[in-house]
Amino acid sequence: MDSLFNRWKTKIPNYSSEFKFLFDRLSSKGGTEGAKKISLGKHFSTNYELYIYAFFLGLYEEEYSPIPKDKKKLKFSHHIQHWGSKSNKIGRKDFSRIQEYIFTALVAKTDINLIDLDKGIISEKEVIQELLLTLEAYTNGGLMLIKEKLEDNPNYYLQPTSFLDMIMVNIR
Amino acid sequence: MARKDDIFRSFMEHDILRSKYEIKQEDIPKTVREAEQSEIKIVKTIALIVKELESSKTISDVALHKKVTQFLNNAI
Amino acid sequence: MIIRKIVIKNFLCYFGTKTFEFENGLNVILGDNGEGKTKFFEAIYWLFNGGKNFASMVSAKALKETNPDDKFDVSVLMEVEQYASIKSIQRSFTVLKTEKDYNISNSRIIGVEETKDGERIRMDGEKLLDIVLPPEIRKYSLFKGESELNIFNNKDALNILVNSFSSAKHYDKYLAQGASLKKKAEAAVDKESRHNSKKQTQYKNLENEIVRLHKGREKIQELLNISESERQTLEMHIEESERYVDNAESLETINNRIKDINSKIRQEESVIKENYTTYLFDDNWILTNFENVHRTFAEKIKKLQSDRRKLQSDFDREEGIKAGKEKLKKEIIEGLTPLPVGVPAKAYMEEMLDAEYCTVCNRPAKKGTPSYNYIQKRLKEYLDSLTPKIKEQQEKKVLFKHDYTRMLFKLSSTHEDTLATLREKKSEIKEIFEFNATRKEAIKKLKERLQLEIKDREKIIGSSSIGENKLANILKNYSSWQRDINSTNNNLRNLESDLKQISKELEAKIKQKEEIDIDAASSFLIETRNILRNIEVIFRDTKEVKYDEFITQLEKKSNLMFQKINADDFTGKIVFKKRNIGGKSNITIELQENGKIFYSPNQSLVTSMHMGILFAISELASELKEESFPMIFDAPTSSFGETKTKDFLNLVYQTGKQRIILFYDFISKENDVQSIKPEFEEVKRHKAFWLKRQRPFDKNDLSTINTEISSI
Repeated sequence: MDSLFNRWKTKIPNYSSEFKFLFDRLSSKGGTEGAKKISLGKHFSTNYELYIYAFFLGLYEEEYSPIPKDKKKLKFSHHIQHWGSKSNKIGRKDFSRIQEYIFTALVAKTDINLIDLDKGIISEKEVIQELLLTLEAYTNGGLMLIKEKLEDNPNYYLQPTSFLDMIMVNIR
Repeated sequence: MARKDDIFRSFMEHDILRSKYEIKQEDIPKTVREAEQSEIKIVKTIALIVKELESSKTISDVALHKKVTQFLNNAI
Repeated sequence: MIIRKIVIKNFLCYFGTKTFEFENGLNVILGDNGEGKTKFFEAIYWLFNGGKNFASMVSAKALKETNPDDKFDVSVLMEVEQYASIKSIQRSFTVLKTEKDYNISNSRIIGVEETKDGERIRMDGEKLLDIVLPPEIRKYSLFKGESELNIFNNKDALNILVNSFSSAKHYDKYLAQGASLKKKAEAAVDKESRHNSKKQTQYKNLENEIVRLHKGREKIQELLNISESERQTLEMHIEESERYVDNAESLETINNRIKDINSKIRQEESVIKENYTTYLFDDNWILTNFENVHRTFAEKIKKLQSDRRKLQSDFDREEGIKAGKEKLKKEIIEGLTPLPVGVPAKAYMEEMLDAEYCTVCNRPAKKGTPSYNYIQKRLKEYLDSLTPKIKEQQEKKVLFKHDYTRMLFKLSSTHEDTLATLREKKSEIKEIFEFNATRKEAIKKLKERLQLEIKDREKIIGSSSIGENKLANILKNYSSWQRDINSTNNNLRNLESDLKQISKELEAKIKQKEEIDIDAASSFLIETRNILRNIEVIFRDTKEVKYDEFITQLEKKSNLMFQKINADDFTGKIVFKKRNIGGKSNITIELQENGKIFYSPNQSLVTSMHMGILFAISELASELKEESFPMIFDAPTSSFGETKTKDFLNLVYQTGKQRIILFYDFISKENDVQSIKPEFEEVKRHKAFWLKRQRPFDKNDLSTINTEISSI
């Protein structure tokens, strides 16, 4: 019996095509780290980084917004289990344990009957499906917040603290 | 001293022969003729090249390459 | 080789036959502007180098004084003494006058050698010219004006010099061969590697990567060279303008302070790390707000646990009751009365059977009798009821088929433990911001100081004594040059680190590739390659050594001459800088004083420098050819002024080598009457001439022009 977490990790979540431009603008695939990147507004090294960020943003700001049925869904190539693994990036650390936190957040916020799951009344597949929908909904909400910020102030993201500020409103 | 010997000896002064190949100063031949009998491959190869390039007949790139590889083939 | 005489016939302003007889040593030809000096020079130039622009060489006067259908020759002849024989070379052509115009024909060059016995032998003119004045020497024998003295404004100058005067020229072919042999050996290894290697795709990829990185590195190197030359230009400008600043010392102090502040600023900036977005992930800052979410999760899981436990125990109880009920049902169905209270235990029943006596009913129960069978049956039932039947177990129900939730319990407790570290994140973040803020504050203060220093600097420059307009310009440019040089320096630093980075990557890839090579290619090929690689290095380095030897020699000789020419003035020296640009070696000449570049020397200094170099080359040529050659200069020292010119001429006189120099100095004019200045008597020379146009003449009518030569 595979653990729920392990099965969930093998999936790739979707995002709304409405926000594809954010991935193009804010994440750069590959290349070196450093100040040069930020001056172009590219804070994230990979697409899934932006995805994770948007999820947490939506989670903390309680922006639960499922992807509307009429919007096309897109996905990128990294399965969740690869998110944060160190691979060849020089100067970066492994942050794959964030996957666990995402998972617990989803379990906390998704309305699923885990008793029924253990009883075998609902299938593992159904539960994972629900968890992913939650993931997509908070991420979608987060992406919307980012998009709105960009519309208000297109240069907002040229500062190095912009994303930090957005997500740490309570702290700083 | 013939020009080819002057040229040959100028090559023998390079540090690589001492540091990488550990050839002692006294073992370095003073003329091309002497060097042709050398047991040290790199010395003999250089002597070969100098002899060909300083001779009156011009040798083509291909022919020189052939001569050099032939010699090294037999020596290695 | 010594020029004995030059005979010019009907060439431009020289009408008829004009003879110059030269001595070994210093020959001075004086002539005011326009009197024929330059035409003399052009005649020699034509003799040495040829040229087909014949119409432009014909003497107008000769043309006028010739009748139609008559002809005359235009020629320049040089008679020399070389190795105890007399040789002469004459270049000429024939002019045939017609009614309205003229025709040119029969252009030729004739060589004649006269033996000791007086026999005259005709020779190929061009060949004789090459013997008398070899082409590589010819290049350095004729100089028109001051501006042409700089032979190094030609990129190939170094190579030409080396090829003419140095044994270094022999090493070029070794360089080429060494490179070609190495290339072939490497190709052989690559080919076999590619073919044999199990990692073929990887190998190919590596090869491609290496090519790409090479190209990338070349580009960066190019950019570096460009930036470097930009920087030098800017430095030159800055230095030039700093000369106008009176208070040079204070300026230097301020510049040092500014430099110091800038480096402090750079230092502070380098410690500031603001990859905040990256810290969100790598340092888990993104989880700082996670506590509430975790609470929700932990509570949910706790409730899940207790619900689960409750359900399980309810279930177990029910199952237990159900099992009990089932059993009861079964016994009722099968018509069996359960043992009533007080029924003897198993031991008693066994006793009764043994004794064949029923103690309950108090009568004997013999084996085979109904009573006996009855007791036996009840005992059996009793024993049966104690051992659960397997079939029943298979039908036993389970509440929870899976245990997915166990992992969730585990997660909850693990995360509970790590909550503490999450809380620490807040202070971690605060610390980093404080650190960065302090650095930024420091930078701000430093920048304020910087501004004050820059203002002071401008004041100093402003208080210098040159005219206001010029000063305003300089001030404006000075600041922008300083800014530009700052950004150029930054650029250079970035490029240098890029170069380092890409070189590192390149080395790594090459190393990877060679590891595969050693595996895949035969050891013979590898050893051959290594030997040829080393040989290429030896050839290349030795050539550089030889080039450097030559340049050092040239530099030494040049400075010897230069110092003599400049006896009382400049205390610096000529420095030859070699630069390798794109595989080709290039020379630039610098004037240095006390180890620093001396920018913008005046013309006189420049001329002295070039003269020093030219004389040095002449010396090298003499040593190589074991023969000396004359040099001919047209007005080479216009910027010297009379005194320095006199000293210069005396110096040349002392070398004892044949030099023919044309001057307009030492001639004074009064009401169009020319005369030689008395100062000229102090000039030591072996021979002197004076060129003068025949008077009267009409400067607008060329046919009245005829230059006369007189000895002084």
